Amino acid sequence: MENRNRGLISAFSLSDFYASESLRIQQSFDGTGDGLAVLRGRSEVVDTAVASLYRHYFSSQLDQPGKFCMLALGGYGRRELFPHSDIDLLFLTESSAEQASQRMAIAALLRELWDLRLRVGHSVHTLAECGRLYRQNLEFNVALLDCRYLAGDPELFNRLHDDVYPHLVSRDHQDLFRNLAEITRARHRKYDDTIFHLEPNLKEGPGGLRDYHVCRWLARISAIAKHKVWSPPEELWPAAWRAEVGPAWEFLCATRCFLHYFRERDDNQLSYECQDEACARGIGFQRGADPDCGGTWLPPPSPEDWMRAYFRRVRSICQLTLRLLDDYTPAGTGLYGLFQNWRSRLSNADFSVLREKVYFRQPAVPAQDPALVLRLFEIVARHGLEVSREAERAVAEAVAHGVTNLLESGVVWNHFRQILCFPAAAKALREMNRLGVLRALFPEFQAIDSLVIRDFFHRYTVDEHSFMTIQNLHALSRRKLRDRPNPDAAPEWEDRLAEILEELEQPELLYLALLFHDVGKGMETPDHVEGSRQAVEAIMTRIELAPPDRTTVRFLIVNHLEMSTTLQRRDIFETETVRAFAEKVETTERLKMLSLLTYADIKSVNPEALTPWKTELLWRLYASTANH
Amino acid sequence: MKKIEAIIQPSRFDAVKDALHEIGVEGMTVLEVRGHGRQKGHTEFYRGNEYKVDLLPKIKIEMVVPDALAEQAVQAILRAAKTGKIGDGKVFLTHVDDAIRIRNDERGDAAL
Repeated sequence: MENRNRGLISAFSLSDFYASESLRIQQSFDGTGDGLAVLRGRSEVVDTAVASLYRHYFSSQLDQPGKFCMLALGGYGRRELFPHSDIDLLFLTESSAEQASQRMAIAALLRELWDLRLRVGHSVHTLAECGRLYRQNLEFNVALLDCRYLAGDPELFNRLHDDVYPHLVSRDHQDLFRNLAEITRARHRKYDDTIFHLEPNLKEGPGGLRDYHVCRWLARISAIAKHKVWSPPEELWPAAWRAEVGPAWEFLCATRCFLHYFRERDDNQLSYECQDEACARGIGFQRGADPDCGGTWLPPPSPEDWMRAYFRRVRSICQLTLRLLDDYTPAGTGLYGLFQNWRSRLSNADFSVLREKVYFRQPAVPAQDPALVLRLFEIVARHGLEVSREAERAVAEAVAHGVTNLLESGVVWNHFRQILCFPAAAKALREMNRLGVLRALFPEFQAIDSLVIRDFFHRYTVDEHSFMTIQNLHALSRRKLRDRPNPDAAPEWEDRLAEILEELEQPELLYLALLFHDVGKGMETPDHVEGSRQAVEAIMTRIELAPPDRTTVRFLIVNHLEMSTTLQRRDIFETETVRAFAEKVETTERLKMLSLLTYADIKSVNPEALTPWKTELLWRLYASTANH
Repeated sequence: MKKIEAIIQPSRFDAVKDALHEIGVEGMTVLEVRGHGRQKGHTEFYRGNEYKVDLLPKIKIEMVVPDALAEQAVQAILRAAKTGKIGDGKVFLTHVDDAIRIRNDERGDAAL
């Protein structure tokens, strides 16, 4: 039995040690809710286990270390192990000669880790390989950004850390930046470029943990490329961001720890069930320092409120990610750079535009000239630009000082109608919502801010659904009938809808109705249509909308479900159905608006909701009513 | 076991579904389809141009039921889907050899 001796920890006591430490960490989390403590604690436990196994299986190396060492990568490298995270190991050798002699020992060590029920990923590379750029596998190059020495020849590790890898980064950082930007944008697209999913994935979704890592990697690549230093990447972010993103990261860590323990596996989707449980346990709120609660701990009263807190935090991480991707992705040269420079001609007396971002010419001005805040979003909506961080701060300050209250009511509508009709309206509205401008102008909107309504078909929160309707309608208006590949074929249904959108006399009324059509879902009224109507009445009075326009908007809100109900329940090829529907809408202009509203509303439920089949039905009801 | 396929007017779908639930048919597959029968479509004018419309939107439902329930199900569909006009659709019946529930390998009527 002599050879079964494992030195400090025998096989039996190793699994015992791992199990009891894991339990201790979990129990401590149940009490404190401190996610970061779990990450650190689990990393230390695994460090201990790995170190003792290394001593056992590589004992010959201990006396004569050389040409071989073991590193941690990924989350383990960062000392951030979630309860069911994978463990990534890299066995680094001087040359391939050492690899053959270590193969048996490596396999034995990995087997022991598997027996502890750890999910281990590993690779074996030479130092030279780690200095090479793998265009087909840039993930490996990026993974080394989190490398950490575990055991073996420290000298070999130092050569990688201080020389070989920094050399690669300073040579190829543009490729690394570009690749990170591509995969991040592709990942965001997979989640429809929005954080506002009803059951979000807190790791992969926009603003999730993966985005946080991307922000760190970007900063780290830049620091190594410029100065060959491995400083903590968070310190390289602008200070204003750190204050916001740090607590968001802690919140997400606590939530993911909870999810892993609750589901007993590496599951990162916040299902409705998990939202209920997270809210009941006050996950993310335990430590009494939450800024939302004024420093004292108040558990969120409902799962909806808990999700609002979640979205607020995720939003800040998502913002930072998009900003850093923008800053680091090379764009100074080439066609895109020329385009961006050309865009700087959009600057005018009040705003300057630089690299796709809008700045106030004089940051103090919004406080004195309230309309300037609205004009900022006009330029965003018109050209699809980003709001600069400086302008953001000026707007937030102006809003906090109640600058929007100084706006004359007529002025609000004059600017707001422009914003609604410009092509990037949805982007401007999302920014206005994020910076509190929308709320200040229309407190009614607060009711649906980040609101999760559980529903089998809907995929987004109510506010995001509303923005999406506006976005989808503007996307429709970019379709051009004459651009069709085959002009002789019958136009597609959406081309025909695009045509009637172009004919609208007052599209702003339709967009206004879309923005508030579901506001009632966040109100106490038993019927959300009635709630939305009440809210929009108050809004229309405040912005002094002309009486005939009020009638139109009221009609659209009250009847916003009418057309889809008719499509589903009535025979639209029946003259009687068409006659009854025509009587209800009265004018062709209203018919056009209601058809477009129905199109946008169904299309924004989820990306698959509006099938061509449904679009055809919608079109047929429009056409037969128009001909009636 | 019989497989029932029915092509119906979209507007009759809710009524047909309810009628089938009432007699105890629990599962069905629903498809959004286009097609035409004897009536081969028509031409349509849209803003001065003439287009041929030969395919109209319909709903197709499919279900497999025990033999004993088949005739009842067909009658339920006919009652609920009939408007008496052209375009009401059709019902098809075919014999099915077996059915297997993937989750637990149950076979025959038990799998339905």
